[in-house]
Amino acid sequence: MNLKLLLEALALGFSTGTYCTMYCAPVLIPFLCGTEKSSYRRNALLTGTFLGSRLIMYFILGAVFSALGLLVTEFFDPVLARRLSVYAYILCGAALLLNSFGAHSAHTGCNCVPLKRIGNDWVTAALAGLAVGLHLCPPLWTALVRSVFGGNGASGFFYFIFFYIGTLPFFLPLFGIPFITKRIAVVKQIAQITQMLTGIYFVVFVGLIPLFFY
Amino acid sequence: MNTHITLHRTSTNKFIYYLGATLTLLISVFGISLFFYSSSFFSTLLAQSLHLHVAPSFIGGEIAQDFFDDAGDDSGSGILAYPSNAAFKEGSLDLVRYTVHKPVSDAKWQAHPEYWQIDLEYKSGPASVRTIMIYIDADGDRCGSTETLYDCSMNNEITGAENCQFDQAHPWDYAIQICDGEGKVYAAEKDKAGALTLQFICNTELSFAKNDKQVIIRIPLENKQLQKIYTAKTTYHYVLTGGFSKWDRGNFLPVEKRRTLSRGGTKKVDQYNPLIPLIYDVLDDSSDKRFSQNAQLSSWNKDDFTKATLHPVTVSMNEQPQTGNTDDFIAEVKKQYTASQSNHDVQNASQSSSSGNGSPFQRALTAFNNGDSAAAEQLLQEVIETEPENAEALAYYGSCIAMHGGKSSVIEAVKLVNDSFVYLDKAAALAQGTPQELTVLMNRASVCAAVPDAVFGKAAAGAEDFSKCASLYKKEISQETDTNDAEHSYTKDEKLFLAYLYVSAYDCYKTAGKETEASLAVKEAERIWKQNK
Amino acid sequence: MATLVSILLSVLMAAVVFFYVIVMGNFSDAAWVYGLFLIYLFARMTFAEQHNKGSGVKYRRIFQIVFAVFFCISFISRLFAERGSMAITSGAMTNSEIPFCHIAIPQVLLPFTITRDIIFPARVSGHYASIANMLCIWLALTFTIGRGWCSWVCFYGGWEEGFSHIGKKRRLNLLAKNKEIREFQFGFFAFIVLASLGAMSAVYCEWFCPFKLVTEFSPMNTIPGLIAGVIFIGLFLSLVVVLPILTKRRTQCSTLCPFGAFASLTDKASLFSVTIDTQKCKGCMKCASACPFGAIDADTIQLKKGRPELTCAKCGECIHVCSEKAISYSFRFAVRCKKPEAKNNFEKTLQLFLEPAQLFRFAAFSFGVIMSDSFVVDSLNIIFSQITHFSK
Repeated sequence: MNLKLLLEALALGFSTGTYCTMYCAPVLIPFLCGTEKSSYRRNALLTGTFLGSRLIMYFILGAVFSALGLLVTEFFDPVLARRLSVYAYILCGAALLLNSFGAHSAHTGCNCVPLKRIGNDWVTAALAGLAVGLHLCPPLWTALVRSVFGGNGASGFFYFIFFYIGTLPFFLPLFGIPFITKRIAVVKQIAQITQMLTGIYFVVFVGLIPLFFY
Repeated sequence: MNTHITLHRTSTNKFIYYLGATLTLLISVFGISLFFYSSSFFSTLLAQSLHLHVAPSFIGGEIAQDFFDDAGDDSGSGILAYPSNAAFKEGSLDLVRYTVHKPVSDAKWQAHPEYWQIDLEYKSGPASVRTIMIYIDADGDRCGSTETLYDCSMNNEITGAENCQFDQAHPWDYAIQICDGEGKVYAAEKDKAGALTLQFICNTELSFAKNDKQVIIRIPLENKQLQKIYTAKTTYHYVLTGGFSKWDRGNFLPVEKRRTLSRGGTKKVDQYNPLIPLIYDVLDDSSDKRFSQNAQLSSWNKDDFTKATLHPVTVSMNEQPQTGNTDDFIAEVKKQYTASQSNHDVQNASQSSSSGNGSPFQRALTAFNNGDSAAAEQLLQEVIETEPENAEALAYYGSCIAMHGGKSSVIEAVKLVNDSFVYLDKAAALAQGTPQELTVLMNRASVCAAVPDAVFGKAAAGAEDFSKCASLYKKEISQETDTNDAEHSYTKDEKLFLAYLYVSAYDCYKTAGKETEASLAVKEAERIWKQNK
Repeated sequence: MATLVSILLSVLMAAVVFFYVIVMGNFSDAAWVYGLFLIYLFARMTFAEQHNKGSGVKYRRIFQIVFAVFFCISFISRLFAERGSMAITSGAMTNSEIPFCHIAIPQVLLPFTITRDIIFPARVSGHYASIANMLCIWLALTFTIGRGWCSWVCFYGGWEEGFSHIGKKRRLNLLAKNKEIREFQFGFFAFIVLASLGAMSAVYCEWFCPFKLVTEFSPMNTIPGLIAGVIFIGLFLSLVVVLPILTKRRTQCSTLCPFGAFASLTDKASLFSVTIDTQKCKGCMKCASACPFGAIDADTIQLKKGRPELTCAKCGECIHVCSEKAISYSFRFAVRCKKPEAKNNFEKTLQLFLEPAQLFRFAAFSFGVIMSDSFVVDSLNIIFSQITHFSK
């Protein structure tokens, strides 16, 4: 394994910080702040579930790129990336809304059992992670292309893993969320409202409207 | 003991209360008014310290490259005259600036999230008299067409009749036609049989600004055929401007022996030839005399009926703005320039004391260079009374008024500076295309840089003037030494002056919040400064 | 002595008005009319407060309503003069000439901190509505009057101020829902900030701002443009017109405005606050009914918090209605450092000059005068020229 290449992968991952924050913050912050049961362990596991799902989606994309081969550079373009983002927003928004209506039943007054099952926090974290993984930012695109086409299978795989590790420092502050929610009780209510509004915004304004009209 | 401590706390408490209350009184009664009085200073300081700039995708994307074309070269190869129709105002076909932006993806609030913006600026309007053709070789792969849009269209439905051809080394891939308020994009592609086909791709977004002087073209990049722009490192552009005629081939206004109301013409009857390109202005690489506009547009040959061959300008799409610390370089340039100006002033002072009285204008210049703006102002007023069209006198007079404003009260200063720009703008208009243009624009640029941007909003204009001065100075040197920018080895003084101009442009761009343009300016300054080092 | 202080403050305000309105208005008739009107308003307010604490609040209302209406006339006139319509043209968008208002500030700060880009196509500097200029104004107001901006200066708030005082009787009582409304306001604020970061565009300005109806908006020549139009017109009619008439509250300001929520959070940095003397308070809840921002609940009084909730905009309505005079403006620092008892005439006189209410009103009114001068004078000039034209 080329150490220089792996350091490059780490640096590239670190450089995606702004994009990670842009795509993940609107989803994770209200979601984690608004969970009914707040504890450090649960918070960490939910964040881990989200990140794991995101990684799975990246592996799926990597597999698709490998299957397409060099056609990927012909097939993928900014327009397709934008359209993928639209589907990502719809999926993510739907997950957040299901969670709002299912898990936050005290506020919404909803007692539908299937909805509570689909809308539970773990399913939401997983779905949201998968959805956010569909947002292809330029550094991610570079990492995927290099890892798939840059060398043999193993080095490409490790290139991508190190890239992903490089993105993780930006998620560290999220592990401190229970510190705030335990001290300021109103944060939970506000976060739940924010989550519902974010879900509606994702589904309607950056999902369905661009899907049908742009 | 406890009483003593309580008394001490009470008196401390009182002191703190009254101190805080007094400060609050001062801020409430005087602070807010004073803040608004100096708000222009604070906002400029904030803009500069935070490096405020709008996200590029809202405003066309980052600039890849900016070209200045000579003003006053809108006569083709030197022999064309505009139609006598009043709509063909002087300068309406005279391209002066061409700006290529980097392509944008996922832009917000825009009609097209993926687009590529190109800006053209002309000396004057209206836009309705122009046909603009931009031919682009997007990949340098020698696949494309060397004929005009008209010539290679299959059934002459699409028309482009510039009467020229293009460099074999850079056949175009895309053609953009702008006329009659519309923009269209075509692609020249080889079909399966290897034959060249012409295909309409899309319409462009078109907007006009600065009284039709500026044309802003946005090419939507949703079509796959256009997306090679995203990965292009270098593109090659042919930018042609002709007169617009709805009824003639290619929407290009024909040229006859003599100009008429509705037709362009040659300046002299015996100059006419059917092979003359119907192009009034072409963007040329002013630093390379081999591909000057005149050379290109007169390269047709009547003996073998070959059309004029045009050469593109090279646009680097991946130029990265300077990110290193340039402050030391800028400070060094300014320091050296100030020192050289001081030496120059000392020499001027000694010469003027020994040379005795000259003409009023010369005496005014001497007073100006010696820092006596009041005396200079008076003398220049006399000059202007006798010579109202003396561009240099008007420019220096405007500068003097602005300096006078700098020493006056706020209200008077605003009026004086506004008056100064009346003279400076008039001087710039009169000096355009003349040898005095450099001096006049230097004056105007210096005033633009000196006045508060938040009040007068002149920083961006000042930057453009400084950039134009640099372009004019380079042209002067090129003409004197018969070399081009790539070949010429600048002397120390030439380097210093050019670097100073670009650094001043950088300062003005920064004040106006135009980070990309600022970076390009300082990059050019550094390139010239480091030449032959 | 109190009269002397009022006279002195009125004279100082007259000087501010003279310079910023009359001198900067080039001594035009409109400038004189507006200048004299402002001096009269401030003097009446100051003397009214001297005699009856809180009674000057109606002059604040008059100022804000006048500012809102004339701002709208001036702004729309300028748009028609420049572009020929209220719609944002592609030229204005491309040249980055959209006016930057204060409501955009909370939306652009976080993306700017992370990406160093301003996600709003406005001029950076050199204009009254440039980014740098509005940021400076925001910093100045944050450290002086805080959320008092909303009730004393905001040129949008005047609309609700006017509509909420049309009806004599309240038809819909939202007092019991104050807490939920405040939670919704902060929830909406957090959504706007995070969504603007995610979308890298000012989401509130793009979809939800009701005041586009009285300023400018994107052309409604596409379906998304039409949807946005329906939303902002609907929000204006419901939250700015109908609900204020029914509830006699500033519903848009207290539920949706992200700048209001943001200013509530940063209000801690301001010089002034409103305090409730729990000793004097009898718990009649008149203040809670009168508060247009829903900043006083039953809990605020019953739990003897000593101050309104976070969303207090320092409008003075509660001070006006309180029969026990238990509510007053105070210095922020006086929370820790109480106002000392005046033991002699000198201290009494000093405290008269350093009365927090007077200083706050002066600061807030100064802000209002300076922000409004060019718009109102411009509007009056337009009106006078139309009158002259028609009379010929």
